[in-house]
Amino acid sequence: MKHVNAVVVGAGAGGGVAAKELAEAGLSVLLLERGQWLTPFDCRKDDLRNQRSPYLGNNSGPDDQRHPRVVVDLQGRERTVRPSQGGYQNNAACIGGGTLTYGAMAWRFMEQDFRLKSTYGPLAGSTMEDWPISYMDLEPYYEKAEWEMGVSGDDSANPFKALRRKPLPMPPVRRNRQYEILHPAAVRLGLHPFDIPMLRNSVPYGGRGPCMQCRWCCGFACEVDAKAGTHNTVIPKALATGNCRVETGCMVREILIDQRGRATGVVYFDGRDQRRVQSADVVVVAGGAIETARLLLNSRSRLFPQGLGNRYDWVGRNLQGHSYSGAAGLFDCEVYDDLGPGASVAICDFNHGNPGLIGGAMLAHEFVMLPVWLFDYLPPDIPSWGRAHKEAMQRYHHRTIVVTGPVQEMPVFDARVQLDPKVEDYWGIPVARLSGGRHPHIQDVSRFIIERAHEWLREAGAVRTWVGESPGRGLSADQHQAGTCRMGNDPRTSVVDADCRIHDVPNVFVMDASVHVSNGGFNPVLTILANAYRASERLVKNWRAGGLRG
Amino acid sequence: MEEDWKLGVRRREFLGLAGATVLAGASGCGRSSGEWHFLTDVEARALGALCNQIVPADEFPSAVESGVLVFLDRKLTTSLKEFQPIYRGGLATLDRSCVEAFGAPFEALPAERQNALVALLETARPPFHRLRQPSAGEFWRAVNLHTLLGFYGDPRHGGNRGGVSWRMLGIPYECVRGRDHYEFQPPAGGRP
Repeated sequence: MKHVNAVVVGAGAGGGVAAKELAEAGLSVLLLERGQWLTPFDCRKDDLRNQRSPYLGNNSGPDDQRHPRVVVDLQGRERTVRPSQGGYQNNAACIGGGTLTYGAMAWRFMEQDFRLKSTYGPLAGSTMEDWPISYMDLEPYYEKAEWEMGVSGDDSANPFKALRRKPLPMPPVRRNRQYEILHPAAVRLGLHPFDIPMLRNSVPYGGRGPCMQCRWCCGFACEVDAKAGTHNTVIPKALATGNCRVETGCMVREILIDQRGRATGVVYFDGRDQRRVQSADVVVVAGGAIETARLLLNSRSRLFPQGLGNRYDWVGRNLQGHSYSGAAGLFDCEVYDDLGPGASVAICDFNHGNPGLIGGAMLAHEFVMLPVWLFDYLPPDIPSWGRAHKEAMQRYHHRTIVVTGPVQEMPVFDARVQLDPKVEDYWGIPVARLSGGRHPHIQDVSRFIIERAHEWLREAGAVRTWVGESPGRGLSADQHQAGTCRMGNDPRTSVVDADCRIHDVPNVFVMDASVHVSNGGFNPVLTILANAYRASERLVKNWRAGGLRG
Repeated sequence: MEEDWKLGVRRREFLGLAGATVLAGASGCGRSSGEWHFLTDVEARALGALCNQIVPADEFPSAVESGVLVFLDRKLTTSLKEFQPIYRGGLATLDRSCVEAFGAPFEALPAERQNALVALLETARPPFHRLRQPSAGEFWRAVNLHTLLGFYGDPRHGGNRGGVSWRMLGIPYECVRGRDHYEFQPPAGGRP
């Protein structure tokens, strides 16, 4: 195998950006992805088979046959699960990763999100900490992500947002009926509603057309390429440089470390299951918070017998996602206009500054309600079967609005990824073993957020409201998984430094949500993209100074 | 078109039932008329009656009329394969409990009694409180959810024939008006 300057593991949000930035800087790059390069034709609009409701399987990986995990519940019972089963905490495995099928909300975190501990003080039972970088360190890269990939929306009416130097490049997507109902209601309550920023074309941008506002959005690949993912933006740009090669169907076994503690490359199984050794000057890991941690733990060497970067037992710790919380309301008029993506108005009034609480959540209404999603949102007094259920489906489908938001979690040391001692995947590689739960304070924040959602819906005219969504106490990760390779200045309490380089290892970098110290009360993708731009820029600077060549 | 599929289902059901009766008479239960991949004819009758309690007919078709049995039978040999023992065991004990208590299998009981029995099954009350492997709860939750998925989910899987539940809810069937998402073609040149 020909030597390359950089191997990037994982072609999702972070890996896609890293591949492009390094290739454009002149490094030869091999981008390895365990999934396939999918088109919307490969994953049709199927409400029972997609990333959001995988009742009959997922549509963008990983496949159910080769990628088991072991999950341990709060009672200590363990079971082996497949990607489309509950508890697996799946994101995706394909070119683009989660960005192929996501809802595409493009949030910047707020200033407080980067300094949770200084804002709220320490919290018992949580490893809550400040990031080693501030919002302003990331601001230019948020802007870069917004303009390079394309974000529509208008957050100018959001007084809680941190400083923004440049407006979003595109106006919002056309508003739907729920927007017209919810926006004035929020204003009447003294709140500050605005148009959600989305990695979604509202007008032609970047050579791609605008959103056709179909009903099949969150969970599905966009057939008109209006959603910007790394698969249709930065990865094609990386390939266009001539410096980057993408290989799909490749499962990375481990990162090789030499006697001096430098990475020399990776071992992987290619699409034909052949074992390959790829030598490289630099390794960038971007497999998502669970698979990234698993790969580091599987990379054992004389210097790192407990796994790469795991000298102080922090790899795989602090696994977190979001504790979605919200309410649903029944209206006496039709609120359904079949105009996608559905979610269009949001508020950030309750992300911070909630009395007696740590953090909070952005609140927005849901994506267009597919019938099979409605079962879970019906009021608790509706039976799950019979004439009453059938009538309720007819009564509620066009008249229900769900307002919900991603409650920021307080990281817990024991919510973690380990290697399972027994179960191996198709290639014989030890699989991720997930265990732990959420911090109890999340329940308090969740109750508060649900109450705010009730108020918003009632003001909007809901004739009855009920709890639409509330978190359990078990492990949280899923599509927003983060935290397992914490960024920090102290090698004893973090895995990577502020440049996203693994402490003590000069040439291995982590560029996905694993490095997030906390995960905001927002969908994390824009932060992953921005941080990958930032870390790639630092890497390239370092490369040019000659610091990364063995 | 809408009338056609209704008639089609009723005819299939009628034939299935008639064939099963003959077989049952000749060799007892546990046989399949060849209509099903996984279910036996006896199981299909019990399951069909149960599905129709979950989604009964009103001015819109019932679960079975919309193809939910086809959906379940097909998925039990593919994506829902792991539920095979739950269905096999659950349906057998459902019928056995009904025969013991009322002298007839579930599908032969009057609709009101079936309805009352489903409420007992849902809460694992007698005569279903002793069900193990699967428990009443496991069996009921699977049938309840899967029936709803078949009725309200995408027609490509065999249920929701003609998009009948979507029409019932007032959702235009196509992804965008005037365009059928089934006709979507891959981009020229295939994968990028």
